[in-house]
Amino acid sequence: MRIADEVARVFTEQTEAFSMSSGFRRLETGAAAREHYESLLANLFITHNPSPKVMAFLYAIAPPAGADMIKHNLMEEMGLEAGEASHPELLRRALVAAGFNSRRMEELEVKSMARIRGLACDPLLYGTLMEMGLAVLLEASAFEWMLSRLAERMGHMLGRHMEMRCDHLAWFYHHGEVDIRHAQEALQVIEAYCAFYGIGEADLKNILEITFRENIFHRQYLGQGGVVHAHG
Amino acid sequence: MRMVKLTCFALNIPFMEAFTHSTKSRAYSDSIVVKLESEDGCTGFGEGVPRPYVTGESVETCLEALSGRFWQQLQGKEWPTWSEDPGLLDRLADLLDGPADPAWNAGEPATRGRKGDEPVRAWNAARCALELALLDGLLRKAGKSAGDLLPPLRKSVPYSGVIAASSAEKAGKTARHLGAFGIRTLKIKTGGREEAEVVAAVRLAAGPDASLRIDANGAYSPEEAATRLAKLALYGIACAEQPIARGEPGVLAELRKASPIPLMADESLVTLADGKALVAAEACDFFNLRLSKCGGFGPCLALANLARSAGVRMQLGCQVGETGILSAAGRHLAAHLDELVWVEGSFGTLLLREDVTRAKVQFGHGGMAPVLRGPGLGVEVDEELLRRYAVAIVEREF
Repeated sequence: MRIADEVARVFTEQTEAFSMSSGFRRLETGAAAREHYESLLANLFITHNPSPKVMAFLYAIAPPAGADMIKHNLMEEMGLEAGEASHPELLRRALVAAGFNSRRMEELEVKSMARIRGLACDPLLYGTLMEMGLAVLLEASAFEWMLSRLAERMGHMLGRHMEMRCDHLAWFYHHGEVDIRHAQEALQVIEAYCAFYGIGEADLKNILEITFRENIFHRQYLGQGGVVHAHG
Repeated sequence: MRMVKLTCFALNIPFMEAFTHSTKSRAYSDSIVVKLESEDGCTGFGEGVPRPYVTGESVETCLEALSGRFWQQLQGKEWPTWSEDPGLLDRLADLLDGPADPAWNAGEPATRGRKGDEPVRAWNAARCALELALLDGLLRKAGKSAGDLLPPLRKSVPYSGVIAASSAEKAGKTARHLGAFGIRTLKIKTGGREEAEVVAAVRLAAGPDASLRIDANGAYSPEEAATRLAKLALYGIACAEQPIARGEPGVLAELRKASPIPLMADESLVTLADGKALVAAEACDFFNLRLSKCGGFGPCLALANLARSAGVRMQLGCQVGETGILSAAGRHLAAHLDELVWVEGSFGTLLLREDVTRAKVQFGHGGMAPVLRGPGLGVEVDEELLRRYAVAIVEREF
């Protein structure tokens, strides 16, 4: 088993299953109600608002061969790479443009930080940071992989069905611009991580199965934290 | 402070994956969470998980009992208050088990559930939910933890993993996943055609040092049970839970003599009378105590006392699909009863897609979980999630 191939296979499966799910299709075709688009936006915010913190954690445990790329992603997330707004700020602007008021934004902020709180407070299932770090790296890379393929489509669907302007959807078009090769570089980081920490194929496969035992995109974007049950 | 409102939430929380054993396959939780309120704002939460094949209670009959006979008995009464004396659970028992309706007793025709259900042996899931809600509320009011009632005798609780897989391949995979979490004590659901292959796959994946036990949920006939247990004993099994269906304790006692594996009573052990009959017949090596099955802390402690005096060892089991509320109660009991050989539960979001408590009540690496210290049962309940996952909400006010 080549690690990059196996991980790419899982990422592809997850991405295709999400894009072909009835929930995503209903959103894309306009069959969903406005509240479902709002819920998608809310879930996106809850999922990605803590991304700079997640990247910082990954940078802290990055293997030497992958540290530069994670650092580059971290700087991008924080808006320090090209003088742009931070990615959480881009998302925040999208939600405000969609009509989220300050009270609702505050609620979402609290919910998104609850994930970080959980990461710090919940008992750890894995025995070492090495294993937990791999699970987090796999999940973060999977989102990057998926967004490089679907973010523009999500931006289009929100533009069309929520009547949002292009400049409000910068987060989506930014992620869509990340080319597929860029997303594939994440696979090299995963390989470097496994090599640096001496993680064997069997252990990687185990953690892959555990991390992706359900569709993480569906879970995060459509499944919880909001009212989207667009598959119904 | 008088009890003035009861709300029962019948939940339907999807599982991460279906949980299968010899008698049932479940894809979602079917707990009942009870919220009890006083006129001055005191609130307590409790939980019960009705199982028709265990106590005879179904979700429907349990809701009827909670909002009917139980609420008639509780409404308008004073909520007991905290005291250091050891009789607090007895005072709750006076409220819950009072003589208002003699038909509550096991075997009475009036206690039968809906058509097709088993007769109700005891309203233990309902009782458990209310006992926990009463305790949670009164402890919160006093700024106390359930640990003040049941002082912990250990700092952390070690949980077992449970494997309920229909194929050897899936069982081996689950064992590997649990191994990644450092869990070396496993219970395997058996009773299917491939049970030997399933157990073999788990042994292979978990390694020779893992502690394995099996649970047939009463799937074996008395005639075949000894033979099937002998086959599984080859894989090094520490205990066999409920190999044959609940019945005369003497039949289980006969099997115990022939079995190469020590036996545990689960479905056979619902009431204190069951426990006494099992002890008298010398029918088992272990009792499986479960809060919802046995009716809450009070009855579980009574069974634990019986087991201790009879030299029967104990496990604290759980209910598949229980939320963090019942898991928290289980954590307190497990911390208090340090002689428990095995403890199950606290699966949290390893099984449930989402839990209703704000902080996870889930075990960590090695199955270890800390003693809970917060007020009441030690968990905060997210009522928004209760409402989201409720398929029925029944309210009664005084």
